[in-house]
Amino acid sequence: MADILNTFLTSLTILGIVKGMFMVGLVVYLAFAAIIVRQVAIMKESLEDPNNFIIQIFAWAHLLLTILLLVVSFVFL
Amino acid sequence: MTDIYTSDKKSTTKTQIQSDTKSPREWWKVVVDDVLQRVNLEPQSSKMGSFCVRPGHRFLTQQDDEEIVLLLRAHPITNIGWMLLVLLMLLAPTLVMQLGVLNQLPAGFLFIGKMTWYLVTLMYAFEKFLYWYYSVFIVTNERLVDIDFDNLTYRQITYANLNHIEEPEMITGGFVRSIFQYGDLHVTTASENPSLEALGIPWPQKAVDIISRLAEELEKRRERGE
Repeated sequence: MADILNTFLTSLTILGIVKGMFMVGLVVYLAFAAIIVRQVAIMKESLEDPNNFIIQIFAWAHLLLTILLLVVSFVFL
Repeated sequence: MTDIYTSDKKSTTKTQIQSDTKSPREWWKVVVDDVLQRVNLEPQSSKMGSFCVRPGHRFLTQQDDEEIVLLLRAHPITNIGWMLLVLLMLLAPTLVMQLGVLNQLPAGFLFIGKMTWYLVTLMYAFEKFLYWYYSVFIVTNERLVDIDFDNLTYRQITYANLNHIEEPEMITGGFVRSIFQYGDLHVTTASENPSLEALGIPWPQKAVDIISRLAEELEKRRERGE
């Protein structure tokens, strides 16, 4: 156990820590993007409007972009 | 003797009959028509949808015999602050890159960092737009409805019947507000939640006028026992 921990600690780099923090940040942001989709649904329910459909598509597009960015970050970083 | 002038009795009578034969459920349409005619307003959408007369939309808890007479949002110019901030945020990566502060970072980090920054900026703008677009003040033929979104998970909807309102009040003033003709509208009620407000709406005087006239018409009908 001590060996594993030692190997892990010696392999840590500044960029590695930044990458880890970046990924955690993006996962939190993904949760936020999902909340936005839910929020748009609640807002849409409050007021029926011809633009509701476009706004909902925008919220979903944002969620998809966030997922894409998370995947790309995982590959590139 | 021939008639010099003949009045259009037939058409007048026909109109009268049509008006009288409206079903009891539709009397409010006549009231709304009358009020809008007196304030010289027709169904319209002005100021990028922030002042809509009879927009034909529906809202949560709207009843069958209820129609939106006015749908109000804050004047579009009230969004200028966050729009400028978004513009700055969009320019920030280019400025930072020109300063050469982040030149030591690997290209992959820079690319992902930029993309994340732009996504957050987009989200910020979208969030602000949502608050503006869905925070509305609605005047129907029966009541006032104030829908407010203060943060992501908080929605407040306040209702006040038109025959329970006390004093509609408007506040205008200031350089920008005078130029763009917008101001605040406050309506006090006799209930525990004493006030409804619509902040930064265009032409608040027209809104006050319509609310007052609708409330007056409803009061008259109530006094007549209709």
